[in-house]
Amino acid sequence: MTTLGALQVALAGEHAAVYVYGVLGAQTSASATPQLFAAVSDAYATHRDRRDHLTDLVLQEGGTPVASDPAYEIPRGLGSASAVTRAALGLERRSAATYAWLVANTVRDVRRWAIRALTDTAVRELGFRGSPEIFPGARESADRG
Amino acid sequence: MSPAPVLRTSRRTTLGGALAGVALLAGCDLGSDDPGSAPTPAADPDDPDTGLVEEVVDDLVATLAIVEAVRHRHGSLRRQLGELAKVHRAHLEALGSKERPGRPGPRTADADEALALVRRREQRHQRLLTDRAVQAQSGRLARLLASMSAAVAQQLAVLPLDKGDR
Repeated sequence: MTTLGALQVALAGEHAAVYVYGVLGAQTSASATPQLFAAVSDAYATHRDRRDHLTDLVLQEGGTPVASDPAYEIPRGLGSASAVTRAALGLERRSAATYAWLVANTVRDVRRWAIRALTDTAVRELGFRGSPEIFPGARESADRG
Repeated sequence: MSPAPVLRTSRRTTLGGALAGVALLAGCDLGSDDPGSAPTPAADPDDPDTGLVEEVVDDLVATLAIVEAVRHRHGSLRRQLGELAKVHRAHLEALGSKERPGRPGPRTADADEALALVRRREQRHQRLLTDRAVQAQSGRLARLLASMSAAVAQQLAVLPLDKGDR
């Protein structure tokens, strides 16, 4: 895959993450669950920034950034803080897999940026009750027991 | 956490095997268009990343030796640093190597000081993993090293605070 193609795949992933985090934010209360609200808000801002950066990178590569879909599938049963936390953890794990894959399919500065995104995502998982992993983003190969 | 698949090879004889392991573990090939695509095993005995892998293994061995030395000297840190040691051993296996004697560990009697030393060593190791991931010719190896770097970052995030962080 070309660098441009890889960036487009990552951008599509971030479109989905921004959309879903928007929904998760709407399900979270700043007064009832302030920590979760802050974590979801911070994750939303981070994914939005990454989406914008990926858009710039696609343009720099001479491509037309892939557009977001009108809507994305939302996890069911988001009526509790624990459900929102689980959904956020799932999002971050998928994001980690995407960025690990982007690392493999890019070079130099873009690869370094992808590593930073992978690392940030892996640490963010812990804030959504994730456990440390042996190979974040590469679980399908390394963490099966 | 589950252990990584074991590659039964010794360090100096296995760079081809190690890189085959990388292929199996990383599960991603340049040319793949699916982030969740299946592994594509491939090993090249003349791989240009051979020296890079050796450097990472050496640093990993030295880092693990420090962690183990602190664990054995400071009972209060034994459990918390146990997970860190487990991660390093799994990373060594993924690179086709095994734990071997490193330099003698630190002899500090102060647990906080020892913990701060471990933290600094892990931060240094994480930087090396990131830099070598950027430099790797193999996308698969880059992915593995980046994942290892992220794993160390997670471990640093859950390490107990030492006095300097409080």
